[in-house]
Amino acid sequence: MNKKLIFAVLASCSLIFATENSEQEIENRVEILNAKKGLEISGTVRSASFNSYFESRNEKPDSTGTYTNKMPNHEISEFLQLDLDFKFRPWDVISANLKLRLGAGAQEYFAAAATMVSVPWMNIEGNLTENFYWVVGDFRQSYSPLTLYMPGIDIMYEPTAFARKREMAQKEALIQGNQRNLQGFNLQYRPQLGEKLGELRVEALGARLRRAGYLDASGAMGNMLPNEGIPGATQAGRFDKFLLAGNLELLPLNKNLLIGGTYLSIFDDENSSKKYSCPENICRSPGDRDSLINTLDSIPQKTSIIAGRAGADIAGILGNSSLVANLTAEFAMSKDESPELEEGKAILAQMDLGYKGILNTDIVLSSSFIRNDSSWFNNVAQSPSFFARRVLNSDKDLGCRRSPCTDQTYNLSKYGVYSPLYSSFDALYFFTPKHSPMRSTFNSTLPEAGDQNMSYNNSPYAKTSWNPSTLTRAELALLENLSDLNLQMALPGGFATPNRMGFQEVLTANWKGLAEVKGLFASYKQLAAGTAEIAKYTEFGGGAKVDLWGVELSGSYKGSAKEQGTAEYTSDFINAGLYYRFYKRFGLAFGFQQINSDLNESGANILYDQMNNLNLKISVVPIIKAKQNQWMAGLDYTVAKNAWLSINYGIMSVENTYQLTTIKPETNMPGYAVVNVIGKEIELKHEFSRNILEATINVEF
Amino acid sequence: MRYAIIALVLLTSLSFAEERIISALDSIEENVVGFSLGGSAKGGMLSSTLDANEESFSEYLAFSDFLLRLSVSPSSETRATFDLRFHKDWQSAYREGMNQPIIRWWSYDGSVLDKKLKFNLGTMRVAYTPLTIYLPEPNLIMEPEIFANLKKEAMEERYLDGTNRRLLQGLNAEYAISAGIFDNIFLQGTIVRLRKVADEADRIFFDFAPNKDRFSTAARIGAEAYGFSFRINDVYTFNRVSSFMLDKKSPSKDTLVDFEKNNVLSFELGYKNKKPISGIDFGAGAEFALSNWGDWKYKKDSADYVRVLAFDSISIPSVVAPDGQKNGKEHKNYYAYYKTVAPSDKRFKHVLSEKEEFNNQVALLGNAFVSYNEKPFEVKLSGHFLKTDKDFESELAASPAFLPNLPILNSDAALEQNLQQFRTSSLENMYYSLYYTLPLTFMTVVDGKQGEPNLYFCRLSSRLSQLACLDNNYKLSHFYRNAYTQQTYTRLERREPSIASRLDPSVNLALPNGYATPDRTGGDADLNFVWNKAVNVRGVFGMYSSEYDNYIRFGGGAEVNVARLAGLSKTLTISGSYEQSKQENIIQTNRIMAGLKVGIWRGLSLLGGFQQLSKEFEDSVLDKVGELLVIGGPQVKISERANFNLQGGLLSNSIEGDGIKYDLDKTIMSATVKVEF
Repeated sequence: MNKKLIFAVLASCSLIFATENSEQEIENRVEILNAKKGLEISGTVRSASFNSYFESRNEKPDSTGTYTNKMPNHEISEFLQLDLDFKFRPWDVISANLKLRLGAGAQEYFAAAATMVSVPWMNIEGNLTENFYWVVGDFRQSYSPLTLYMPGIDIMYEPTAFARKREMAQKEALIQGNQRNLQGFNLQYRPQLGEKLGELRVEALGARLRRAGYLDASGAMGNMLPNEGIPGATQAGRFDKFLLAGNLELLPLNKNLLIGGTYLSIFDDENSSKKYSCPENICRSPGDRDSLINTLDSIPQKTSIIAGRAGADIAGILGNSSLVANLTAEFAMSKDESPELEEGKAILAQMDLGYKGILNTDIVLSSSFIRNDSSWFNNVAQSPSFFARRVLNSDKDLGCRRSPCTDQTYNLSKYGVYSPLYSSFDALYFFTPKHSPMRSTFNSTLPEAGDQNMSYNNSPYAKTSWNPSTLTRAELALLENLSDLNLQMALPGGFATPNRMGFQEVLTANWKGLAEVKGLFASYKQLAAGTAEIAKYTEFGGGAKVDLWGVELSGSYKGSAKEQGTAEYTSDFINAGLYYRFYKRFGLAFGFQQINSDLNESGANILYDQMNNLNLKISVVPIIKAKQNQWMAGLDYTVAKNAWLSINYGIMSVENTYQLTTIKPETNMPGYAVVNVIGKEIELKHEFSRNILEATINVEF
Repeated sequence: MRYAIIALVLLTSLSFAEERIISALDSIEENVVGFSLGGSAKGGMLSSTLDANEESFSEYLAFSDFLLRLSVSPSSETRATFDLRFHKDWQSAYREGMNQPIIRWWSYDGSVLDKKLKFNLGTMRVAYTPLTIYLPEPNLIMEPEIFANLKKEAMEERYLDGTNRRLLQGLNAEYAISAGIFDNIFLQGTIVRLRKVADEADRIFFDFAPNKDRFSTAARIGAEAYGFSFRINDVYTFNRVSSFMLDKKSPSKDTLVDFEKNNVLSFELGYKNKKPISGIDFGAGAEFALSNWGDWKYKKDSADYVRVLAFDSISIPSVVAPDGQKNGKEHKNYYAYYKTVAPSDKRFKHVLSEKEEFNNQVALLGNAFVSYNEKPFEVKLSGHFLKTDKDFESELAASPAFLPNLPILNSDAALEQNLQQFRTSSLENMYYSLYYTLPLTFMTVVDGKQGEPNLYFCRLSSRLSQLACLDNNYKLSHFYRNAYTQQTYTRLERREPSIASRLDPSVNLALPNGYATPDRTGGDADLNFVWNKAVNVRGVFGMYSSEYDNYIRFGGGAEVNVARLAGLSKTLTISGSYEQSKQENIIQTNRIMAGLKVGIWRGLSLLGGFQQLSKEFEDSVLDKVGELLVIGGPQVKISERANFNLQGGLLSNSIEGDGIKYDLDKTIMSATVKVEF
């Protein structure tokens, strides 16, 4: 209607209008109306209700019938998230995107703290020409595993019942594949130069990785280890940290060849150093009046990375659609001047070799080789998206501060993988964007006790292991000490992990897309280890998946081992899954996972010393043997791809054996379990389990 | 409607048709019944590097910002509008906590009763006359486009639109009809709350701590016939005495608390010819205003004896023997009654202690203009005459829009003590503004500073640790650094050094409070000459005097559209101006501006601006303050209402006095993309 009207007005105007100004004015107005070209709305509804019933045979009342750990055994977490994605001017050369996240906890007593509106994503993007794309604001980008990348977790034939939960958790954290989330500008010029020259990619981006500013050192967000006071614990930036990147690639011969190079510069601006100035009337002591922020991680970063890569799809060049023959190789060099000049090299070569259609079977061998110096450093490729955290029943994670073990504020959940009730499956598959009322006053008692617990219990925070953070060198070092070796043993930073040399072979055979078998072998070793022994890492395993008559059956086994001199850590990961679809959209899912790990005595001693050197506020008692099981069964209704409703029930159980020979008063062990055994035993077996009933909704529209 | 417009276009005269078509398009754009979403998105970076005493300090603003305007029109007569502002400061180091939007504008506006009654409820912009309700804004001569854009953006942050209308919240209604010989008879009423009393805990959200409500009521009536107009305006501004929070926050009983009342009654008479005579328009008018102002000083006193409901008991014997003797056993029965009791120490009342009043203070503002508009010439000469009594007071007309408060750029730079007070400048305040979110801490709350406490403070068992740490560690709050304000200040507040010293002498030196500035006699003239819409020349002259001082202002400037003169297809505009303001024997300010805009290729233009400002003091420790701002850069029009701007600037500030000279230089780079939808 509006268009017709405008047309009629303009047509008649053209008959009589004489002045150019008036015509211009009317054209402008029509253009303005045209500029308001529409609005696209899409989004996701994400909701979950977890009921986790905790129990442990080690938890027993004393002679008076009193339990030492009075925190509730039952955690109910319910939330609803609606992500509304607005795209303004979707059909114009410039668009604006806004993701509005509406969140609610399930309670009706008070609304303000349980509901929230936030903007996790916003940007402006456009195309200047057909081949030139730009974006300002939030964006994702990856160039290659050694340059710009976000390493994740790979689980072979992960049962559908669990894989969906991980997908939900990652999407809640806005993680998509191995692309790094950044905020700044990104330019991509990709002209098509014909068949021979193929595609040219001229790309550049700039992002601020961190802004100088204070963060609450006791908060769950913005801290790797709240209130710990060690390097890397707080993520408060003393400087503004920037990333500038340029990427040039040519994909000639119908994109069957690749020649490219990337330059990255990651730097802090020292002049942006932030100080805190406290007024004299508040800070009576002169020493308090003018202090720097985060002095524990305050060496200004100045890192440059240059990388070159080449690749070829030989099968594509030969025009043979049955052959699989790809080869890519990348060489990267890092130069880090923070504070002393350190240069490191990294090499990644990958090859896929195989043939399709041998007895209706496709067989592919994927090989990877890396050689990364210990001095190789690139935090925009090494910062992983997974950092193991505690989720279910985290309030129950009480340790023993002093005898008797009755301090209900001595919560150790922040120590993640070393907290008493940690389970790899809890960290991998559960999350809750928890919103709770805030405290009205801040408690400044010793940080390891009251603050942490108070902060977690009373402030809004997201309990999740998934985040797209870009970390500093100190944070990465801390993360390495706090990573879950069952999930991130050999390559916590993906193929960009420093101080590694080795290879990985994956053989896959696929029959008609209905059945698949996979075998894995990997071997890596450290290139340098200072005064310690060189560590060697081995991974081997295999799995299979069958999809017949609506039944999908899968299973896998992966064994991992780390050897360092006489120290040895081994871990076995077993997956088994069944998924049966009926009545088109209904599905029955069953999944089972088991992780068995062993740490020998020498390894336990090394780990103890290593954690002690970190200067944590607790001493870490090593777990020398752990057995983790999880099974879950449920019913789901699949609306479309990425859209389902499901109800599941399952049990997650853990059996940890601690080596008590090196025990000190304040440790990472569960308070109720150690209350009667300190000084009496050399080993402590701690068993606990969670009965989990959950309902989830994940609908994208 | 379609055919009506087409017919309109074909039948009406040229200029009339143009206006009607543009009006029709405006109507399509704005008056869509139902729900509509609009707004703007902006993203980019601004860096400022301060160099002083061979030290460098950098500050970065890197952000995405969305202004989302939601409108609901239940019918074509009314519309509810509210704006949500979303802001993100770029970083990918950690997951952001609660980054909530803020609502900056809420209004319900309408035009009902056959468009005779217009109303605004909620946030609104209102102006009556320069002596009653008005917002004095900086008025510069031939300000280059690049500066004007920066100033507009800074003012928009504060929701000021450059129309001298005051930003208020309340109810405004206007009923207008035409009848008989009258082209227009109207009645307008406005009631607004200027301040709400703040509780002790939430006063942090205000720039000051209001301890009493302040309201303003205004009304005016007027009529227009044969080009003559007559209006009566009245504005009454007052504190609600009973809102004062005596019990909680007031100091001792001897302290006097001010309750200011201000009433302004004005009469306007004017004439403007209805149709041009040989291309000449002319008009004249006068406003005569009477102001009453009183400071009613209250102090607290013990409250009066009060009647309260009380309970008491009587003993009733349970058994009475025939001989009338009690058996000793009694039952208690309770009953209620009223009694008068003395107040406790915590009960107070406020009593009027003394008054200071200035009543019937007079202001007279006369204006006249004559203009000639015959192509290719457009000439306009206008002038004002002003006489205000020493104690004339009109609060809603006197509070200026430009009132620098904080340093804008590099506010965290740890400068040595001598440089602290000179760290900012007039030009920085006028053209730059910052907007950001910070975690809400005690420090950010109280000081609004970007400097934050050391993490170690959180580990100390001291009072400081409680102050420096966060109560709510994820909540991000929105902060401004902006020299413009929409607030009104009372007479007493405006005379306090903390606010009076914020008046910038380089802006409206003679009339810092606009035409409502008290104690002024004088006038000004403004000549504007346009030739062929290509050459624009303006000259201003003003002379005012007060009881002790004489003020003079003169200046002139020109803007030439070279492209139009030379018949070029691309834009080429140059401009320049000079202005001098002087307060005799006190200060003289000189402002020189030059601007350039060149169209390069398609949507690409180059903009540049130069501005030099000097303030020379007499009989002062300071001798001279010199400021220089040079900025320039390309502007790309990506699409309609979508621009990319890249600007580099140098802002220098030099201070001379007592044989010492300080220099501060700021290098400012910014790149922003903005799209409206």
